[in-house]
Amino acid sequence: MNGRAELSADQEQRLLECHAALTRLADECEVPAVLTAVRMAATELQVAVEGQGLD
Amino acid sequence: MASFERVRPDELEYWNRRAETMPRQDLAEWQWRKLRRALERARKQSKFWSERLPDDIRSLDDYVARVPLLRKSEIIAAEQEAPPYGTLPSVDPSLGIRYHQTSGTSGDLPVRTFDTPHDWVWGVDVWCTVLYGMGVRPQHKGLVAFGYGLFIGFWGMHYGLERMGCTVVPAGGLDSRTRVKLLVDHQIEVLGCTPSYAMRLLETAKEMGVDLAVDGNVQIIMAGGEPRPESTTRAISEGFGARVFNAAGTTEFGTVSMFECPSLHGGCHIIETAIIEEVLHPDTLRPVDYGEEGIRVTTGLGREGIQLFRHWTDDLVVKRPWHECGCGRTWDWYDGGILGRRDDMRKIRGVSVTPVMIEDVLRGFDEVGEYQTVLRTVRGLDTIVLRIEPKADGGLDLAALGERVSTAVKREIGIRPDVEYAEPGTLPRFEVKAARFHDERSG
Repeated sequence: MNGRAELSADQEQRLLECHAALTRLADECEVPAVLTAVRMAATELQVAVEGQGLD
Repeated sequence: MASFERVRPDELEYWNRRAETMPRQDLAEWQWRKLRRALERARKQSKFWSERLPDDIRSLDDYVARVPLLRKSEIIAAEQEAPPYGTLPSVDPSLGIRYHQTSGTSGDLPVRTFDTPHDWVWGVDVWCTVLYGMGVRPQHKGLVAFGYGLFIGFWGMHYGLERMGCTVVPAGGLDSRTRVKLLVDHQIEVLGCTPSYAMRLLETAKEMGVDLAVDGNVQIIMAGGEPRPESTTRAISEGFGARVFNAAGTTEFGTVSMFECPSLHGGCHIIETAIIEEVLHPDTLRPVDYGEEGIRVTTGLGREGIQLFRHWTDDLVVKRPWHECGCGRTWDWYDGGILGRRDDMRKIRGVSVTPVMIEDVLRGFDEVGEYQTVLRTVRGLDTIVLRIEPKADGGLDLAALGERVSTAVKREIGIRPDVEYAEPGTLPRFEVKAARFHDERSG
């Protein structure tokens, strides 16, 4: 953890891809334990994406 | 007035550097982008907001010009239409994972609110911005000393500490002696509580023979939830041997919205990526300039469940421009944080008096422990009655103390109060929302 760091362009792209992948999985998955974990992870990443000003 | 401390460039660290240091023009565009989406959502999904928001708002200026101010009474009225949340929600309340309500100390019905998973994660992330900005780091140990009840209070701090990788001691439901013992036994570095309660912990520690500045290890105190004078901050700082930081938020907004950074003593940066803050003249409702006192009006940019547009908070603030602080954040700040509430201000013989003004004078007396302020009509004259509780050191000349207190209040505020005495330990202590100011005047 480094409080002076910023995301690189490549890291931004991977963050967006991870969020999209989790969102898709949350739409398809029905296993309660997995669905809950994926939804929470997608929510966390959504906040991270918003926090970087990304769409 | 706030003062500044130079921080070395290598000490300037941020939870989210991009958000905290973006140029002002980019910040304005960020705010407008988020606001536009929030407005679209509210108009489509909230009955209350669909009836209140124009549908073709074109800019931030247009928004401020055309959207009416939202008063607390209107929130409560909307909720009363179909309790608990009425017509306000922008999502099905069954998707909420948390419920909170205001404390209702002002005598009104409480404002009720809920958080979706997104709202809660967002609100906790905002708390992390605050805590990291104050110097909290993973592996610190934190103790949160509040009741963990319906009032949102320090819930977000607890989860923020967890999220950052700190060890949290949830000290709800414990008495002050147990909390002091936990602080010492665990060598806690971070403490969260109100300023009133920090004073209470110092008093309790003294009774136990514990010097928290020596025996404890608290380095950062997040003392929020109440306006306080600089004298109280100083007393807490000296008692713990720690830096005391200020922060504030509201239940209606859903999380913390301003905080004191290490280079800004006595001021609070507004978290402008999460909230839009206007400062308006209380009578004309026109914006005031930097440096002028006004009422803060807030617009939330992050919450999806219950949204907030142009909320009249009744909080008195003085906004200052971002560049006066050297921390690198491009967020404007409030000098003194929240200075008080307009509805707490009372006219006494033509003088405006707030609870903080009284507290500021009394904290200058080491001999005074707790106190209460009562406004009464005595023989037709508005009178300030101070009930002071001397510290239990014995041997005090109460008459002389009363005279000195009375003279100091007269000098600072312009009104000579009557002074009464209470036995040590008999006046109420507070964990949240200290109530030391009572207006019992007739009419």
